[in-house]
This record gives sequence, C-alpha cells and structure tokens, in this order.
Amino acid sequence: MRRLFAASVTAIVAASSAAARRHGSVQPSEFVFAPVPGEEEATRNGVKMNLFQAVNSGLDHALSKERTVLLGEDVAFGGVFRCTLDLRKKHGPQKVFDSPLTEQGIVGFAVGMAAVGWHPIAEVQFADYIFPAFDQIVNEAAKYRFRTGGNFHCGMLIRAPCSAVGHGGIYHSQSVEGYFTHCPGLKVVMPSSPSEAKGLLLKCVEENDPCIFFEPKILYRSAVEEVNPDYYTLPLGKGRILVEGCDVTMVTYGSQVYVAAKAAEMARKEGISVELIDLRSLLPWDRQLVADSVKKTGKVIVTHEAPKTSGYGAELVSSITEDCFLSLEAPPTRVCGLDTPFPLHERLYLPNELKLLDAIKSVVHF
Amino acid sequence: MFHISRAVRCNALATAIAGRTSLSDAIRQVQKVWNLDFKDGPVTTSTLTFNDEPDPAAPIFHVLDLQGGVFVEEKADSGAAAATPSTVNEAGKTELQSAELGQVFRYHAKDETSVITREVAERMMSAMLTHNTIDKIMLEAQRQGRISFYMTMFGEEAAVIGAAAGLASNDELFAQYREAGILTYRGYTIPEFIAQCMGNCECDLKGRQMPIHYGSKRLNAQMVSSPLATQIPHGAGAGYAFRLENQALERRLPTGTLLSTIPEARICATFFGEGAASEGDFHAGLNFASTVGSHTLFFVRNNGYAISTPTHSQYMGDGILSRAVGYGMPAARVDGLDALAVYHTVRKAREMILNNHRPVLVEALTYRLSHHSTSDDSTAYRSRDEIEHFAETFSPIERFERFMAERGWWTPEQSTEVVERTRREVLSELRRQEKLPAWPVSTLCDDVFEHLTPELERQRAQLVEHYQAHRSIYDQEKL
Repeated sequence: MRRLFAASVTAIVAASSAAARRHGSVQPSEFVFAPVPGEEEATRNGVKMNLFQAVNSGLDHALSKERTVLLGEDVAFGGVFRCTLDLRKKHGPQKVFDSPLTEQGIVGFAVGMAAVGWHPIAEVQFADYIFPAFDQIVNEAAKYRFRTGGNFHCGMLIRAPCSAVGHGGIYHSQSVEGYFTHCPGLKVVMPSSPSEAKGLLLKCVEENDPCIFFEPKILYRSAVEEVNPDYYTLPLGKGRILVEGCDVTMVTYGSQVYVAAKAAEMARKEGISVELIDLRSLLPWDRQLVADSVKKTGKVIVTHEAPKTSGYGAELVSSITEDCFLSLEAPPTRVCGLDTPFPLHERLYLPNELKLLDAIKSVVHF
Repeated sequence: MFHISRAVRCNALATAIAGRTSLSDAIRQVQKVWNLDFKDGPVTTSTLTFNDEPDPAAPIFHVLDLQGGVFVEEKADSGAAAATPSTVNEAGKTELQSAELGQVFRYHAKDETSVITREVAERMMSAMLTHNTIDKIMLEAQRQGRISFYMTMFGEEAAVIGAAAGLASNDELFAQYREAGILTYRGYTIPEFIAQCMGNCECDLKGRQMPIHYGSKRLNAQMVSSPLATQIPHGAGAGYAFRLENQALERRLPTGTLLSTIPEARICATFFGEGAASEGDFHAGLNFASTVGSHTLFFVRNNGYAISTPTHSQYMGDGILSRAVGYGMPAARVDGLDALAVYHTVRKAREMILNNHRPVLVEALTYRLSHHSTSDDSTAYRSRDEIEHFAETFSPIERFERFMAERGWWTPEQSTEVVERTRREVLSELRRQEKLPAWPVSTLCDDVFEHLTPELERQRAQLVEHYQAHRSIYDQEKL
C-alpha cells in the first residue's frame, strides 16, 4: 500500500499520540509562546484550534476569493488529515475537487491555472511524494516569471504535510525543504503553530509567486492555540523569537521548534540561557534577525529533522559565519537528522532534545 | 460514490437465490463503481481475449488532394469505382457556391459549417510563406554565428497555421517550440522574432531564454520553455480555468445559447510533438483534463521523429490518437500536410470543447523536413531520399497555394511579393538589431519574484559594483 487511506487517519493520530508517549517525544502543549509584538492579530478574539483546524480556517477564507480553487488527492471529502473538511460543501465542487492520483499532474495543472490568472491551491498528500512534481516545480513554476521577463507569472500555493510523525518510516516522514530552498523563484514556508500556519498560508495565497507550504503533520492535532477566526496574514521573510536568552542562539522551524524548546528548558535548569528562534519562512528567510541574535549571544546551534549533509541548516551556518564572524565564540553547530533515509524507529535518528542539550553544553563550554 | 444500501443488498441476494438475477444484471447494477457503462453491449463474456490482434490504423481526415483540389468522395451506392476529385454535379454545386459568394468556399457540400473565407485563407497563405521565409533566413543567420540557436518549421506549416486559423485569437496557447507560425498568423512581428532570438534590449522577454522560445501576453501565447511536455498539464489546468470562466459567462446568456458562438468564450490550445507524448506529463495532463472536463484542445504534431528517434522506437500503438480513447477523450486524426483539413478539424474540435465541456485531441500527421535544430544533422539517421520524397510529394505550402490559385484567391506574384518583403524586413532587422545592447546588468536579478528579496537586492548591488569596477573588460567581450 503506497498511501495511508482515509480510514486510517484516526488510527494515525491515535498511533502518533501513543508513539509520542512511548518514545518520550515532546508535547507541543507543554509550550505556549507569547504573540510576537506586532502580530497580536493572529490570536485576537481567539478560538481554540489545532493545526489542521487553523489550516482549514485559512483555506476557507482563501476559497472565498473568486479565482482560487483547491485541488489534490482526496481533498473533496475533507482530506486525509481533515484539513479540507466541509470546504467542498461550502464552496462547491468546482472550487474544491479531487485530482487523479498524479503529483506531476496536480502541480502542472496548478501552474496552468496560475499562468492564466487564477490562484490555485494544490495539495500534495505527503511531502515525500512531491518529487514526481519536482520538474514542474523547479523548471516551470519557479522560473515562469523570470523566463518570460515578467510578462507572465505563476501565483500558486502547494501545501504538503511533512516531517516525523512517530512511525512514518521512509515515505511518511520526510522533511524536503532543502531540495526547494536551493531553487530561485520559490518561496518556502514551514510553520510551527496554528496561528502561524493560518497567517502564513493566507499570505502565500496573496502572493503572485509560487509558494510551497509545508505542514508538520505531528502538529495537526497536537499543537493547539487560540487563533483569530477572521482573515489575517503574517509576513513572509520574517522569523520570530520564541524565547529570549543571552548565552546561545538556537535556530529552527516546524515541529522541531518544540524539541528545541524542550532542550532550552532543560538547559535553563543547568544555568544556560537559550534564545530560541523560529524561522517559519525559509525562503526568503530572516537573516537579520538571526544575525542580531548571534551577535548578542556569540554562539549558535541550527537544528532540523532533515539529514545534515546539504541540509537547509548548511545555508544558515554559512551565512551566520559571514555575518557574525567577529562575534562567534564557538563554531556554529548543526544538530540534524542522520545522513540516512528516515527509519521506522526514529528516536535515535531524530535530533532529539538530548542531542540538543549535549550540543548546547558543548558550545557554551567551548 | 455508489453505495449498495443494506436493503438493496438483501433484495439482490434474495433475487439471486431465486435465480432471477443473472451475473450480467448484477454487474450492470454496480457498473458506476468502476465508472463503466456497458450500454446495450454485452457485460460479460466466456471468451478470454487479450485484444492481441491490432486493428487497422485509424484513417486520416483530409480535404485537399495532392494537387490542391478539393476531394469529394462518391456516395457508396453510386457504383463508381473510385473517388475522383469532383463529380460534375458536386463540382458544379461547389463552383456555383464559389461563383455566387466569391469570398467564401464551401468544401463539403453536405456540411454547412465546412466553409472558409477568402480572408482567412489569404491570411493562412501569407503566414505560411512569411514564416517559411523567416525560417530560411534565420537558419542561415545561425550558421553565420549571428544567433546561437534556431529551429525551423519546414514541412509543418500547414499543420501549425491551419490550427492557428481554426482557433480564435483569444484562445490561450501553450506551445512546444515548433509552432512559431501561430504567432506569425496572430501578428507577432519580425522585429519581435529577431529580438527574442538575439536576446537584446528590444526583447520584452528580457533576453533570458534561448532563441525560438517566444511568448506574447498581447497575443495570448504563453512563453515556450524547453522541458518537454510540461505544458500539457498546464493546458489541462488553464483549460479548467477557462471552463469555470466560460460557465460563468454561459449563466449570463439566454438559455440554449451555444458557447461556441460567443466571442468572449475561450479555450486553451496545447501543442506538442509525438515524442513529448511519451513523457509522464502527457499522461497526467490528458487524464486530468478528461476527468475535470477542461476546455482544452490537445494538438499533436506527429512528424515522424523525435530528433533521431523514429516513431517505431517511440510507441507501438496506433499513434497518439489511440491513447485519447483510453482517456475517454474525443479525438481525430488529420492530414497535417493539408492546411484546409487541419483548419476544419480544429474549428470542429473547438466547437465540441465549448459546447460539450470536454477536451479534444487532434493528431496531425506531418513530416519534419528540416533537421531537428541547428545542432542536428538529420542525414545521420534518415536518408535524403525520404526527405526529398516528402518535400516533393506532399509539399504542404504548394498544396494550399494550388487550392488558392484554383479559387482565384492567390497568384504566384503575391507569393513572390510576400517572400521578398519578408526577406527584406528580416535582413534589415538582423542588421539593425545586431547593433543593439543587451538589457542593463542590473536587470539580471529582476523577475525571480514579483519583488526583490533582501538577499537578491544584496546580490544585485554586488553585481553592479563588480561590473562597474571591470566594465572595460566586460564591454569588450561579445554579448
């Protein structure tokens, strides 16, 4: 069986909760971060939502726009993670429709709609299956505006569930952002919370450039927050400081934010003050925010679930070295997934909180 | 989704036990589950067959014979041994039509929609000659190193320009690369062609792509890109967008109005070669267009070769036409060397697309007379005899020209005049545009996104500073 079918969704979630407990993984509900100054709108008049509900709310607002449609595999009945629940009923079968099972078709179809002025939202059911569409994304969507000298453009959004879920194994766990951040013409986003997800998603829908929106699926039900039910956007290219600190900067995004927060909490008990940055927008990314933080702390750890070699973190570490060379008191350090395919038993594969704590102590005592 | 309710299931079981429900009836009841429709045909068979005896290839629709005469088939019951160019009666009828109207020719006496106006025919003739002349000169220019690359349309003028004439000017084009004649037909200018091939400051596409990758927002032509077949699912998506727009338009019109009669209604026309049809995107595009009912024409130029690869190494089915049937898409095969047949077929396809809300595929059988590109010598894999045979026997431009001459709509002097005028303009533009500069260095980072990112701004500033510091060296170098 290549895909997890709809009937398994509840089982997936139940299993992932069990797996989370069994593997000692971090619970997002342990951490509540204050709204970023200037972004209070994201939680104003807040209604409690988890990640999939926030995505659903964002899509609901997006589909109210005239030239927006939502397409993908199994989106009509509500999607295998419930992100598109009730949207077809509300917006109609021509605006929310199932595609045949073909990722290159889904993305190519969306490029064609975008090229003639629509704003399609394409869903790829798991980030692991975005590769059949790689040519359409990299050679077509990303280069559409540039190769036409700005005469045409390709404003579209590709959404895909991503990252570890406890037991996804090789093809239901991948974090593939690094393949796409090496491609000029794309914007790449990976939120870590419901309010962040909704605001960034709606911002992507407004863009006249192709955006890839990765949704950490472990958070679909486990990350809960007060989310503004009305329309709001958050800016692309701007990160946020989740926790202020003065000894070491930790930079991450997506569900890894909670692992990093756990490690920061553990470090605090040992007298180390960690500043935690959630990039959320990976391309463009908030280079200034990171540089300012590292100049203050003098040390930096970059962490992501994706494999280490040529991972997105390599770009961050290189840029940080260029920008903060005179401030660095220890080598910029990366804590990432191993350079192996993603195994079924993932506890030791993942850059877990213990690995992060070790890294924190290592750079602080360098 | 089809559901068998518990009650129906019990009932079916009961009747099956009673022996009154056959296997055929049981399957017919649930055929929707597989999106099948057995209609009045048999539902089951006790004879196993793998369809291993291939049917004959589907016949090719044409209008003109090799001499440019309009071909009228005898009725089956007439007793005549073979079809002749025209029976006296039919010829008299068509000539009468022609004589009476003068500006309109009806090429099928029994089909009132099989009409072409002199105006359209002249525009087709002019475009074929113009583009053929542009190709000859630009091909030579590449050999002289004046442009870096070129691809001609030799042998395929009838297929491409017949299709252009069959479309409406506001239909959106997604092309491969050997369809530039459509732009000629629509009014793309010689200066525009040359500017794109040279990538200079007059290229409004900013000189970013190799020569022959044309595009024009003004003429509803999406810009060509090199990856093969990627435009096919684009065509499915754009065609779906147009379907939504056309249906919104339809709701504002009186009931029963045919969309094909409304100028604002548009379709998407997607062009590709038979080699590109082997890409996975072909399967994705056609299947998707079919399932959602895109307003898309899929037009295949089957010219016998994908660079050096002959069709027997490309497919074993009945061309590309047979695949459309598999996707549930109406399809037709047409003589791509007969401009009038292509024109008729595309017009008909367009009507079907708009009025039936379904995509249509047209396979035009044609022949690539030229090398694949200026980087190819095609005599390395096919004989000159084959090329010469096609050129002399099927000659698409001359065939249409004879049709025009017979109607009194065109003269050899007009051909000469079009060729000479085009030749002068192309040569003049080549000389003029060779002196033009490229786009400013600072524009190299533009259009990656709608707005420059901070990182790109930084890179642009660094580039401009670097260029200023070394501009004497860079400016000395050839573009």
